[in-house]
Amino acid sequence: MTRKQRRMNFVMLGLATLGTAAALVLTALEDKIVFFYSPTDLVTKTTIPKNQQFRVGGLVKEGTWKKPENGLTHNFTVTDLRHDIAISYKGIIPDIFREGQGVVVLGKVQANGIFRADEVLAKHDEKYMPPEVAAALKKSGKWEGGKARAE
Amino acid sequence: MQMLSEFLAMGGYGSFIWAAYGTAAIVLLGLLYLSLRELRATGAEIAALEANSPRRRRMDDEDGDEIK
Amino acid sequence: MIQKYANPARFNRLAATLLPWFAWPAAILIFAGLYFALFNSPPDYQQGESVRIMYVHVPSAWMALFVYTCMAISCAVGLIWKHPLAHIAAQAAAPIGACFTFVCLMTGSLWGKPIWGTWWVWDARLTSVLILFFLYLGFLALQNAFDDPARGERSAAILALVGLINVPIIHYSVVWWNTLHQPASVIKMAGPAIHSSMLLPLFLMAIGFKLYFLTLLLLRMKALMMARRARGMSMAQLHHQAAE
Repeated sequence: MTRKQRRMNFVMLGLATLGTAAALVLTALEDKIVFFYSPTDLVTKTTIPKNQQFRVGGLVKEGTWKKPENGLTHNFTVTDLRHDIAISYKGIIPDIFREGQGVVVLGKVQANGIFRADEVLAKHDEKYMPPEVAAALKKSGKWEGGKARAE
Repeated sequence: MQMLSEFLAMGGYGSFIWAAYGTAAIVLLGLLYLSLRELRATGAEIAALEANSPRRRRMDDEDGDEIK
Repeated sequence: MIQKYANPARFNRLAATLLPWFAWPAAILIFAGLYFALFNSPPDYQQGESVRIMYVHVPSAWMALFVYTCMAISCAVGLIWKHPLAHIAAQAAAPIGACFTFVCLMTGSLWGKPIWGTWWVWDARLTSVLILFFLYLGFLALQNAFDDPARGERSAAILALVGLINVPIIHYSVVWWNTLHQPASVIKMAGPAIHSSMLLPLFLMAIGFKLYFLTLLLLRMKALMMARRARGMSMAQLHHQAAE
């Protein structure tokens, strides 16, 4: 075996080992690298640290967003189409916040079961198109935005 | 005039958009500037070194040394 | 075959031939891209005009990954075949990649604030790109951390190869984990989820950036090779003086 081949094998073996190690670590960490939980996770998963702040993500349920009349408190429901959770948030919401929009909220579940949010972030999907195209799609019934990705 | 200010406002996102394009321009053109300056500086350094040792054969020619 | 371009004179001639073929198209494509990005593309149905940040953000993100991959491959070639140009190429590419990653992070932050409602979150995508930025910085620092440049070169090359694992992690982070960042729009199985009027400026900018990278790469490689020559010459002169 030439030295060149030996170096080649060394590099390849190193990369393979590293790849395996990374894959193992990432699999082990899968649950730890969760940025947000879905409303269903809140019901089914027992590992969620409910006494601390955590994030919940989902869609703002149609017809549930009560805009503040005088104060700043927004009330709405976040859903993953299987389970819902009621959210109460006092503060400024992002520009693209609307019903049917993906959101990620940070906060804590209160004794009354309502999730009190300290931060509301909007999550947009990967689709980009001009408003006219979106309007045409909606009109023709081919629109699938928002509904499809609930997780 | 109004069209210009409307264009600059970018539907209210002007400050974010122009800051993004500005950052990109400064960083990417800055790197070009620094790279060209470095090239010129090393060129000058080599010229000075060559002037310093007139006996040394110029290396720009076809069979210049391979770099180690 | 490739070995002969390790000859600085030959490399310089090749670089001089290639440079205008990279630099001019880069300038033209980027200017055309900017025209479409800023003047002649529609606003997004959800994000309005802010979508225009995409035309610098996404190409920079692609470049951040592309340059890193090139750099790591170059390092592997340098380690295995000991080709001198390979290490020079990696060394020249690192600051360019770092700049693209920085632009990606900054423009992403400027986009995130109005749309998501935050400058920064520690989700898997954003965090893994920040790690990429630190990998570039670590590569540059490690290279100069040793008195013996060959040792610095080797250590930095190993770091670059170890960090290569981050590239697929960045790409799949939005698939594997819940993230605030949305999934890929262009590079996906079902075809792009971006309207063609928005894809045009995106691709113009992306190709322009790639050619701009090649332009910078050649310039920086040339400078690095000249710096090595200058170092060799001044060593020789010192040696000569000491002998007299």
